[in-house]
Amino acid sequence: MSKQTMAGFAALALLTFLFLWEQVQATQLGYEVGKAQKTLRSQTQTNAHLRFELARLNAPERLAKEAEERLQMAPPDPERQIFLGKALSAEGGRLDGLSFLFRQ
Amino acid sequence: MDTRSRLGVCTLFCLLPALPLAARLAWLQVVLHDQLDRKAHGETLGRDLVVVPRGSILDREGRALAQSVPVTSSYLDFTNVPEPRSAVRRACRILAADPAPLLARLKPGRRFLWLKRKMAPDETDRLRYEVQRDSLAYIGFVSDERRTYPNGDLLKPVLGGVNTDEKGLSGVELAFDRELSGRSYHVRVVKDRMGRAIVQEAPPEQEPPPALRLTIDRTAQHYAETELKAAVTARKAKRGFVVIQDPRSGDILALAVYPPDPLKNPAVQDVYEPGSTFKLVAAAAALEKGLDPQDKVDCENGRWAITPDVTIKDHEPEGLLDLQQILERSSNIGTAKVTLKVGAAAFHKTCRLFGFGYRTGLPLPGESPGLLPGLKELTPVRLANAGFGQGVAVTPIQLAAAFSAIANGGLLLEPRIVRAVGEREAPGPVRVRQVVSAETVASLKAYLEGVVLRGTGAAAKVPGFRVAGKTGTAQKIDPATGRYSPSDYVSSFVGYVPADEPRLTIAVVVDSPRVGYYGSEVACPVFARLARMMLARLGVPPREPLPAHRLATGKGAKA
Repeated sequence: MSKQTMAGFAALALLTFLFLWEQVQATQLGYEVGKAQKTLRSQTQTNAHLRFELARLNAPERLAKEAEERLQMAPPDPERQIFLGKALSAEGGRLDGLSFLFRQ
Repeated sequence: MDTRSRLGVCTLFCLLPALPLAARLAWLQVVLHDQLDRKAHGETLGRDLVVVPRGSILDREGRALAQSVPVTSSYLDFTNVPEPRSAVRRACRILAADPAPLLARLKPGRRFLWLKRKMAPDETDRLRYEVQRDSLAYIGFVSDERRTYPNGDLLKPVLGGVNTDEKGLSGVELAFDRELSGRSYHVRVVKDRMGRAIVQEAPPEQEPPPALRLTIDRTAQHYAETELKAAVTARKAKRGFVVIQDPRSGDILALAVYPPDPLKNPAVQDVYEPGSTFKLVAAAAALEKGLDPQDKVDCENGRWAITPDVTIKDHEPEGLLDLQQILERSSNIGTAKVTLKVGAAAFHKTCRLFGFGYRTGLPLPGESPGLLPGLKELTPVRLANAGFGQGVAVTPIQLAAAFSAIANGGLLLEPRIVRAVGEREAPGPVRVRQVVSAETVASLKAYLEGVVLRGTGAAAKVPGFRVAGKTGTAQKIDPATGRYSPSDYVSSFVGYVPADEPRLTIAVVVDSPRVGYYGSEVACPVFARLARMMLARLGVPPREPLPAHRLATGKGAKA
């Protein structure tokens, strides 16, 4: 067998190997992409559920119930509210920089 | 036969059996190529459904009112399943579900059945585990979504609902179904024999559905619903409505209905006779017509026979009253006489200018325009009755918008409930028209404040703030007799606060209360409590010092 023929067989073998290696790599990467997409879907799902849970826990009805039953809180009477501000004149001027405090 | 010929014949005999094989090969490779190629691809190529969840609905501060979460649905595929009934029983056992409903739907020859739609995540995990462990090939999974309302029934009649396929059925969900719907799609996937994806087609470029931001304030809505529920329950009423509106922008901050019905929003779709709250329109018409508000009207000591058959009554006997006193004391007879002086044409025109008889333009399904008699139908008796809110019908939204117009210097704004669709902000306040002149507005504001200071609306007072509004106690038609019932009323109060610089218009309507019935005793306290809570929420300081009010002005200040 001539050297040329041998070189041809070697080149063919190399090309075949490269082709097969590329196919295997592509398949492996495909599996990894599929796995990553599955993880993404799962994480997105978990994220959405957690967002819903957060919104549910912050629902005003629930917060009011928790505040009343667990912390014994109640809406303050207007008479027990103190307005902080620069001035409220005797004539009934307006307040700036208002904030509220509730007397204990 | 020479040797060469014999070899040729032998070769021919040897190759002869290969001819049918070659022909078959040509048949498969040439003639059936496309068909077989498709079949081969069908076994390795799959289509995965990618669910794009429906857009969220948010309140004015971006807090979730409705949102969709991705979930999984499971189905049964009875292809190659010899015993479908036992397969159903097995699947139901895993889900701890009753198999009877599924078995009832299982007809001979049926290949597909939903096992369970929109499963909870833990349920999905359990089912997937069992399917993998026992190779239950007849159970399949598909991506799905579930609409959730994290605040429970809050704002339910406004939000509405969706069906199993996540299509809007009512409320905002229906009105904005096109904008909110996610366009789910399929992607092609090359799978191995285990069903694992090897190559997946790139998803198409598309934006997720936008979030819908309402003008509703979740906290205000909670206040409104809590107070309304308490009032309806305490008064043993049939139902009630509360509308809270920002008169400066027309934004609806709360729209409460009790009892709530996700399929219907009676605050928008139903009408009621407004009773004395409608006297505002009669007074506006009188002032616009140029009648002297100081003119005294004889209120006939509480009973006036407008015709031999029709008598108008007041809740208290009254004598001579001017226009302001008529409103403050809510005299039906005084209002009827003023309305007759105004005349049908001018009164009808004023009603139209305030928007009665027209839809307000709220983008909610089934909004009613109310019932306003035509000009020709306004006979003297009907005109007199319409002046104090009988024989006309309005929605709570219309009435709130009319009072907001007065609070707003006579400018009627379109009520607004949607603030933005995605990044697209809705246009600012939409001016409908200037309803009445500035002079008329000034007089009406004084009258409405007088109602609270000296008249029937005393219970609507809010310490530290000036309040303006009008009570209403409207008799209801008894369906059995077709006449006004002596025992069935709609109690209401509509007003705005602070009267000097209005920030809130609040309409409270309680339908058929059984414990008390005057608007002053049923609706006014609800208004006062809501106004107090909302003003504190908005950080509006009191305009007037309170007797028991303490002020801290700096370090060490004594309360």
